Order: sequence, then structure tokens, then C-alpha cells
Amino acid sequence: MNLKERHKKYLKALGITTLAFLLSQVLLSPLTFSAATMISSPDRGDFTINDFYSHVADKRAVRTLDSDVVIVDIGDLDRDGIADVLDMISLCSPRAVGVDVLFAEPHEDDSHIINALRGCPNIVMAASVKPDSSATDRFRLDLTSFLMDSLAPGIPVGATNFPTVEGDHTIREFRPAYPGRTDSIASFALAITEIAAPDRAAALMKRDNPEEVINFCSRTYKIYTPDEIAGNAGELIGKIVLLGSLSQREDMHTTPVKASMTGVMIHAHTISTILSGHYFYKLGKWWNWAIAFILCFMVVSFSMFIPANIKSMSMRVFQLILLYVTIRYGYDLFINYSLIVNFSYSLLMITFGLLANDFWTGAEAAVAWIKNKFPILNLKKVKFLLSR
Amino acid sequence: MKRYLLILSLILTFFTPAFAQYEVNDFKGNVTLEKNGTSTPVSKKMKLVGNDILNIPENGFVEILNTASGKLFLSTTHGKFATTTIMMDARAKASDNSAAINGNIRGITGTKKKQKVYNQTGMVTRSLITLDPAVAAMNITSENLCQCLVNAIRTNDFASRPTMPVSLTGETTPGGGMEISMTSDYDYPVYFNILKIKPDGARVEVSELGQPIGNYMLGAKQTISRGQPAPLEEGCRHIVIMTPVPFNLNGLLKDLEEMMGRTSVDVPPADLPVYICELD
Repeated sequence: MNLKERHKKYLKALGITTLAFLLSQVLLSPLTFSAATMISSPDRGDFTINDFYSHVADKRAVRTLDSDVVIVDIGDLDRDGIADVLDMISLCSPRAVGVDVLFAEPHEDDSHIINALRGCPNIVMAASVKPDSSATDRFRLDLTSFLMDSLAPGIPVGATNFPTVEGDHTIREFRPAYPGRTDSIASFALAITEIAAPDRAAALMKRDNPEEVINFCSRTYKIYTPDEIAGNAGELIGKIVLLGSLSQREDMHTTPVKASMTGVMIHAHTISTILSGHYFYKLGKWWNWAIAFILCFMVVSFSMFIPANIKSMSMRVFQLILLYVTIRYGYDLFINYSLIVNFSYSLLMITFGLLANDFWTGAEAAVAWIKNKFPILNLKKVKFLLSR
Repeated sequence: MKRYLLILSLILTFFTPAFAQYEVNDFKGNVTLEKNGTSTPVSKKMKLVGNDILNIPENGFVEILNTASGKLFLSTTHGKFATTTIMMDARAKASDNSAAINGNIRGITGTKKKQKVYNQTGMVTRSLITLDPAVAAMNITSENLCQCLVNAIRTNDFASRPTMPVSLTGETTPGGGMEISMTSDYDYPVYFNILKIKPDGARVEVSELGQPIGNYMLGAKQTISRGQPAPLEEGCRHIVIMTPVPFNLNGLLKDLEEMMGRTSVDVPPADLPVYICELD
């Protein structure tokens, strides 16, 4: 094969890759929908390859017992019970206490809980935010505990919301702060970290990303019930103590590692992500498409040099190998370099590359047939006849 | 008491030295510690040293915590292993990305045998109380309950209803309120509430004594007292309605309102165990 022919093949591969790119842009939604149906994710369409990586990473034989965050499971304790727990926690000199409970309405006698909250050092109260309908990407406080006015002024409040596509879709990321009209509302995790580790909170804010990926993998927390606090008081000294219920059905959310995880556990993972400074870097959409384009070009170019009789089978085998390689090394990038590359674009484009190749070959055959049928369209032949 | 325990625990934390670097964080199955020829079942927080031998049964696991590093090491392999071997194996497995991906892909594609389980769904309610089977078969409905009530109110005859299986006493308090007490001689629970007939005799509401609204229960051979020192609404008659089966009071009031509007109402069987008693 001479150089000209080789260049011609590469040019053809480039054309097919471009066609594959265009096809994948047009057919992206229907294909991902059917792919999601095939993999039978619990919530169809709500699956990313990183969920698979997180799931694999979380099942590793070595886990980390978090040394900064301790969870106190309040179960279905009433306000007096929560107040008793807070009284005990405040004796343990915690670094920060996050109360993942919204005291929405006053009860008959709330003096006990108010006094307990007043007496607890470094406390952060939960709140919820909702989008401000009068401004884009602006938020305002939705629900706060009614007793905020009864507590010391300036007690930090953190938004317990997490960004997700729809109501109950998978929670993968957290928003460090929710910008309001005048100032921003810190997330619950950030508000706690600002007290417990201001340098880490500042590092997060310096990154200036609107959203960050939560690192859910291989981390375990010490969990105590109210009855166990007294016997394990030492474990709470200098720790971030999160107070919340681990059994409330309404507060269960889907995460990449668990089908149902309580809000307080998600906050714990978020805080650990901030404290460890171990953030994931998500490759931008167009970088993912660029990688997809290059990989697709390589596959299509490779197909140009395979003999026609074994081409079809070889390409299918090659496609399967590539599928495995991308999953395998995507996991390496995820685990070892905290890099999230969305190889689904690549896999999609390679699939479309083979389809585009068929289109291209078909189009070539059609043109040849037309030229043969209607010689007048064959410019070379016409030129030849005219010259005669 | 909790406070003292807390302070004691704090003191112990400061002054107790750490004797062992490893401890059992979690386990499943009959995991045993083999030491000096004896086999001891492990327990959570059991201290271990590096050369302690653990025997992991089939389908069991053990998770060891290295207290110094805060790392947890999991072993699911059946057999006898030293603590350090378990940790080294776990570390090797955790860093083998290929094996992790391959294992999970096999899991997805279904070559790994998974045991089928049958999950229970739906609401479960638990109660230690059983209803009187004879009464349960009598089919007391909201409709015949209402019929009993409407007929009794219209004829002002509460005495013709069957006698209550409880002894009921009631007295007005000096402030214009009322106190009632009832003791059950019945072998099964009874369900009741207190209604009030408005002075016009045409409307029925839940009495102040029956608030909060609901279906109250008096267990077998139990006594219950209830009272309201605050004055009750003037001119109203307060009646106790009781049956040996639970009833929906909200539904009953709705049906009652509708039935009170009718000119004639069917008379239910006289022996239907719907007990009505007026509080004087």
C-alpha cells in the first residue's frame, strides 16, 4: 500500500469519525435511554459509569474508619430526648456539632431543647433552601428551626439540600454554598467545616466550583446510639459530631454506593470529602468528546487496514476489548488519580463509528452503482469520452 | 447516672493505655480466635495482636481495625489466618484494581451465583390483643353502629341496648367538668369514645372528654380514668359508645351526620354488642 492510499484511508477514517460524531450528537438521547434500560438501573436513565466505579471502590477489602466524624443516631427520639443527648455531647468538648434535625414547629414545652442547644458549643443548625424564583441560580432559605430566635445570635445555619436531577435521583455531588440575593448560604457540611477546620473550608471555597463530587468510597463512621454515648464519651472529644436519625424513611436517598442512605450519612461523607481535600476532578464535557473522537478515529482507522473477509468479526471483538479496557482504566483513573472521565461518550462514539462505517461503505457502493447506471454522472468517463 | 458514667469514661480514655493495636470491628459466623490450643469465639472490640490466629468459617467474615491507622481490613476467605496475614491479604486485594473490576463485571453478568431471597413488603401491625371471636363474626359496621346511635338518640332510650361489659362511673367536678372511670370485666378489649349531643338534639360531636379524637381501647380486666376539670359545653348530653371491635370515629361521625338527616332509620338487632350509655 503506497503512502497516497494510506493517506486516503486516514482521510476516509476522519470522515467516518466525523459522521459518527454527528450521529452520536443526534442519537445520544435515544441510545442512552435504551442503554439505561438494558443495564436495568433501579431508576432508568439515572446511571453513570462512575456509579459503577464508586460501587467497586466501596467494596474494597480495606476501608477507613473516619477519625474526624462521629454520628449519633437519635432514631425517633422526641425533643426532650434530643435535648438529653445534646447535654451529654456538650460535656465531651466536640470540635463541632451538626444537628441534622429541623424543629419546624413549636411544641408545648420546648424549654429543654432550647436550653440544650444554647449550651452546646460549636453547634450548626440545619435549614433548607429553595430556588429564588425571581433570580436565576439564586436561593433563599425555605425552612429553618422555629427556635433560631431563641438561640444566641449568629449561630451558623447550613443548608441540608443536595443537588440531584429530580426528587429521588442519585445524590453524587454537593453544593458548597447556595448563593442568595445578598449573601450565600453555606451547605450544612461547609458550615460545620468552617467551625471544625476553617483552612479546609477555605480551600474548598478557593476551588470555586459550584458543585463537587462526594467521595463515598470505603469510609466507615463510628455510630453511637444515645445510650452508648456515656460509655464512649472519649470518642467524641475533639470530633465533629453529627446528630441525626439513621432510620427515618423520609430521609433515605439513593447514592452511588447504596440504594438508600440517610441524609446524615451523606453529610458525613461530604464533610470527610472536604476535610480530606480528596476531591474528584471531572473532565469537562468537551474533553470527554475529544477523547471519544480520538478513540473512535483510532478504531475506524484500524478497521481500514483489516482484510474485508475478517473485518466485521475483528471489529466486534475489538469493540468488546475496548469496552473492557475503558472500564478497567477508567477505574484506575478514578481510584489512583481521582479523575472522572466519562468514557460512555467514547463507547457511544465507537458504536456509532461502526455504524457510520457501514453508512459510508453503503454510500460508496450507492454512488458507484449510480455512476454505473447513469454514465452521464461519471465525470471521469465523460471527460474521457469527450477527449476521444 | 449517665453524667457520672460519662465523666468516668472520659477519665478512662485519658488514662488507659492502648494495650493492643488491632481489634475485631465486625464479624459474621462462628469466627474463633485460636490461642494456646484453645478456641475462643471472637466478639466486637476484642483486642488482637499480630500473630493471633483467627478461624473464619464458610460464609463468614471478619473485619479487623488497626487502631493506629484507623483502617479496617476485611477477610471473607474461609480458613485459619494470622491477624497480620488477614490485613496484608486485604491490602493486596484492595489495591488489585483488575480483580475488583473483573469480580464486579462477573457479578453484573451473573456468573456469580447469588442466593435468592424473598423480601416482605407491605405494612405490618403488631398487637398482643385478640378480639372476641363471637363478636368479630357479628359484623359490626359503621352503618349499624350509626343506626344504634340514631335510634337511641331519637327515642332517648339508651337502656334498651345490651348492658356494657364494663362498670362505668361518672361524676361532675366542682368546676363544671366531668370525670369518668371504667373497669372492664370482659375477657376481650373494648373500644369506645365519648360523644356529645348538641342541645338541639340533631347534631352529634366528639365530647371534650373524648378529645383528642380517636378510638380508645380498654383492655381486658383493665381500669381507665379520664377527666376534664374545665367546664363542658352547657346543655349537651354526653354519651359513651362502646363496641368490642375497633371503629373509625371520623367515619362514624360522617355517617352519623348523614343518617341524622333521614326521617327513618332501620333498627339493628337488639343483641348487637353496641353499648351506649349516657353520662349524667
